[in-house]
Amino acid sequence: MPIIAVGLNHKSAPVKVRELLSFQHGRAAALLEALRAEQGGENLVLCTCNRTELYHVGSSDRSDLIESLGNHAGLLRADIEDYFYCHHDREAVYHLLRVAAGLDSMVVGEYEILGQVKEAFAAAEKSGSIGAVLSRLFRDALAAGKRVRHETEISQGVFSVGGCAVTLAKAIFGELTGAQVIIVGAGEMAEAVARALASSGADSIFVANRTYEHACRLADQLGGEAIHFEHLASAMRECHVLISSTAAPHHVIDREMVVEVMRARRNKPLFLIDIAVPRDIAPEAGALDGVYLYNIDDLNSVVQQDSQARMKESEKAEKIIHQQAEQFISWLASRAAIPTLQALQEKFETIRTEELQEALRLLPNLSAADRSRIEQLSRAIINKILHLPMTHLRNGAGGQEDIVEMLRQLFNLEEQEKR
Amino acid sequence: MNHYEAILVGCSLAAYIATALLYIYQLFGRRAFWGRPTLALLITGLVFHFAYLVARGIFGPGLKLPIANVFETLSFSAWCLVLVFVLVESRWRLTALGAIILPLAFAGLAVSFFALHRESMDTSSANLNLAWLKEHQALLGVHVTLVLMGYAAFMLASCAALAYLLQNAFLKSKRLQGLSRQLPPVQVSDEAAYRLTALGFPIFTLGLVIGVIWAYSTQPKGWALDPKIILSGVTWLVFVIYLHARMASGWKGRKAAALLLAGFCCTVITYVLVGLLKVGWHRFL
Repeated sequence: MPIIAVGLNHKSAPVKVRELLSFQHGRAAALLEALRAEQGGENLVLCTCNRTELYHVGSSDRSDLIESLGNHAGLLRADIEDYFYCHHDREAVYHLLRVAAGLDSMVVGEYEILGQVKEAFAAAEKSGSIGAVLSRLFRDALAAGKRVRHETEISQGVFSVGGCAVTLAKAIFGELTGAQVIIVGAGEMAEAVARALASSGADSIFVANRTYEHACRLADQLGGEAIHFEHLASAMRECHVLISSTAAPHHVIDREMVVEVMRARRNKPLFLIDIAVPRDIAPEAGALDGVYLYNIDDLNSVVQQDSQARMKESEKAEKIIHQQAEQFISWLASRAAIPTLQALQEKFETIRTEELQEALRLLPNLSAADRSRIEQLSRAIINKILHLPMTHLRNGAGGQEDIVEMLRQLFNLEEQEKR
Repeated sequence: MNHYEAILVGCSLAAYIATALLYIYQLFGRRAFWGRPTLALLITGLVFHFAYLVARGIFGPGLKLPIANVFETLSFSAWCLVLVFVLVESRWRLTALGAIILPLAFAGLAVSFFALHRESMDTSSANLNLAWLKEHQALLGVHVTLVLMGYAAFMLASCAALAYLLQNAFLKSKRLQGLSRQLPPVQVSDEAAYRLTALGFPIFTLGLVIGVIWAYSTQPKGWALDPKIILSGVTWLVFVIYLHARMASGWKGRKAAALLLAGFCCTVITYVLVGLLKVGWHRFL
């Protein structure tokens, strides 16, 4: 049975596409129902704010599955197909395990994903849309995620500028739940940082831009609120983090403005991130008490400082993933061997009974006790011969598929199955 | 000093040293771990320590609250400190502070225990006024308890201020490794320092007032110029200034933390130096 995973995430698709294909909460159950009707097999949908993935075991291929997802969201396959990635079998297994361990997340090492995988699994179990293979796969993925969480320090690592901003914000404010973030200007990096903060709990995002329409557009994408540029100073009184990336040739936020803001907010700490080149925020503002000003170089250097420790931890995590994935894959292979095992057993049993009857016919004078002894002997021989190969196949040792194939040919098992 | 006391103190010391080591180890590790088990172990130590204090109060020859000499007071101070730390840890998770507080508590209890054991100061030569103190011990006990609780809160607040200053320096210098990962967030330590001071202050003030009342009622004259009393007044004043600056002028961060550390120095001088110099009315403490 092939396993196939199709999906899109923050790397493969822009947020407006992801939003359309997000089947969170109640919507997943209906989708699973539809998939069962259209595609059959085992299906599981994993949705988080940054990804939508469908795991399928059965006969459908990539385009069938994307078509189904599209149908359910009211979209045409041709329009969305390019945003999807697709993994088969071994790759699908590795992919899911890496997702569950938080290695594929926007903020690498975050653990919310583990809970979301658990929920998706529970929902699929409840709706009865999964069978033995996906059940086992998701159990193993959860186990891998838990092991990575306990055995590595990957969540402590700073992997990206966004992750770095999150770590710094946590070192300043503690938990980010309910934190307010302001973006001044626009730009991919600013957006990525804002998203990283939002996925760590920050819940109100304000966007200010010289052109109000631009602000509205970005605010829409981020699920935030646009503010007029003139109101920036008053918005800064309440915010926690400000990310600035305008194309302005001069400072947009000067020292006096920050002094004023700090007075108004009674010196509550303020985290300023200046991504723009040339800079948007006067560097002198960083010397003020309670103001933490980082420009893009500072963020990059923090990411750099951490790189060695990070490498070690990701290697550890990848090793765990590898172990768990191979364990699953050999389980799957041993499952694939089950029909062969049964056929083999039946074949031997047929031979045994035929030969036994023949022998007993030629020895009519035996007592009942002797007949049963001979029968026992025949069973014992068969069991002894089959014991080692059966154990070998059941444990799913390497080269499984070749061995299974060879057994089928050597003992002509196809014919046995037909009978 | 009997065997029961030794067992209680032994258990308590073991728990303190184990948690002290755990907190220190944690400070230099990369990962926070065993928060709850460590806290549970610490609470166990605290309970044993309390049992020791009770045993000494009930069965010992001294006062009902074991504060009749400098070493008894030391043990009681250590207990107050751990108690306040446990409360703070369960509320704000200022785990890093354990690396300072627990070694101090351990040292306090150990020094107190061995000094009492060696010199058997139970009926003490150091305190000629025991009989007289016993007569007036009720209010005295309240006075000492409140003042020591206040000190413990100030001590924790100062440690939080220190953690703030360190973390602030890390953040300002844009380094984010090692120690910085285990220190509490600046906003949390700053807020905790303030809350602890705001909490400790009324307790400390009440303790001082009761002390004055007690002194006046037992001995109307001659105590006002006691160095410890004067220094307590100075300490009290520093914390008044801190709280005022914070509440009225919105002082936060470095300036506030520095002021708090000044208050801490006053506390230490008041608590330790005067005790060592053995002058004035509090000379037995």
